[in-house]
Amino acid sequence: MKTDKITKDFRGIKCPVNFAKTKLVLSGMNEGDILELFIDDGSAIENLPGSVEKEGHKVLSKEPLDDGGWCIIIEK
Amino acid sequence: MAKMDFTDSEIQRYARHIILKDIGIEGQLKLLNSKVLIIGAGGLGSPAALYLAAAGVGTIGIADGDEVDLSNLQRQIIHTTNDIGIAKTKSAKQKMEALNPDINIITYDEFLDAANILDIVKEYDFVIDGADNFATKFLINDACVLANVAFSHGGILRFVAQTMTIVPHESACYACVFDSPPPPNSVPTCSQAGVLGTVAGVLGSLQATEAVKYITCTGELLTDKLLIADMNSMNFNKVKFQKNLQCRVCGENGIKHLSDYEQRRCEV
Repeated sequence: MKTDKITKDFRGIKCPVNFAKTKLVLSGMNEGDILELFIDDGSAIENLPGSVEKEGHKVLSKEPLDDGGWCIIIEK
Repeated sequence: MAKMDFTDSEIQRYARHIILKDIGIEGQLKLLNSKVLIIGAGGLGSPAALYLAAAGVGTIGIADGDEVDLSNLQRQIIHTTNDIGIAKTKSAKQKMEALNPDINIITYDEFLDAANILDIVKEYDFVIDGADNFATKFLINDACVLANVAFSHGGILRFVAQTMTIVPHESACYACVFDSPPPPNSVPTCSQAGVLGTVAGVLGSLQATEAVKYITCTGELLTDKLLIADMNSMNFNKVKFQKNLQCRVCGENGIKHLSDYEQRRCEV
């Protein structure tokens, strides 16, 4: 099955709006698709991955960026 | 046409609903596409109107034939001192639009009676009874049963509030529980007995909660149960009821058309 990859940059968007937007993006994706997400340091990286996992998705990786943000890879 | 997605400002406005399990994306879209009628822009209608506007209920109807009076302001929190003398519906609409300009508000600047209520009620998905008298409360029940529209009954006196949600032809209706209005002078009116302002706020908020739950198909509705909340002792009790098959309103030989009950007005 072909999987798609979507990239979204939600840096600068506060909690919980960043999670609401992530939920909306994931809702439009198919099972197995990959979401590459850029988010802020602080409350975003502390809260968002756990919230995404509670919704039943897999967080495959969390990588810090040079500018202080994070790139996380989510599998729906 | 039904709304299927969100604008950027809607995502921000409703973020805490969208991330909430059991409401989520689908629930918020249901709210945006829903229509709720609030009968009475008083003590119960005030918090209900504000919370439902904030929740993004797409169309809110509000019916009241009264004007704002200084003696209302102790509990009718949608109105302000500057609104004294203007129609309650107009005053309520201004506050709801200021809170959420994206929703559609329809005002009915009249008291509802057997001649006009059915045509209004049947346009809505859910009705909130914020009426201040037994005649209107029973009429709302009858109209909702005939139109098959779910509603939240609510009543307050002194420190006590009571509420029950009615899904016509599925759960007990108001007349299954109380049959008909009490005889004149058997129950003190709010203007005789008084009412604590916050009691209205709690109950109107509970009624708005039931509206949101009904629209989003979330949780367990307060059907077949009358919640009696004594806020002086903080005792909240639920009394169970069953649909009465012989009910004069929703029973096998129930009503086929509406008629007015004897009106005794009381300011909620």
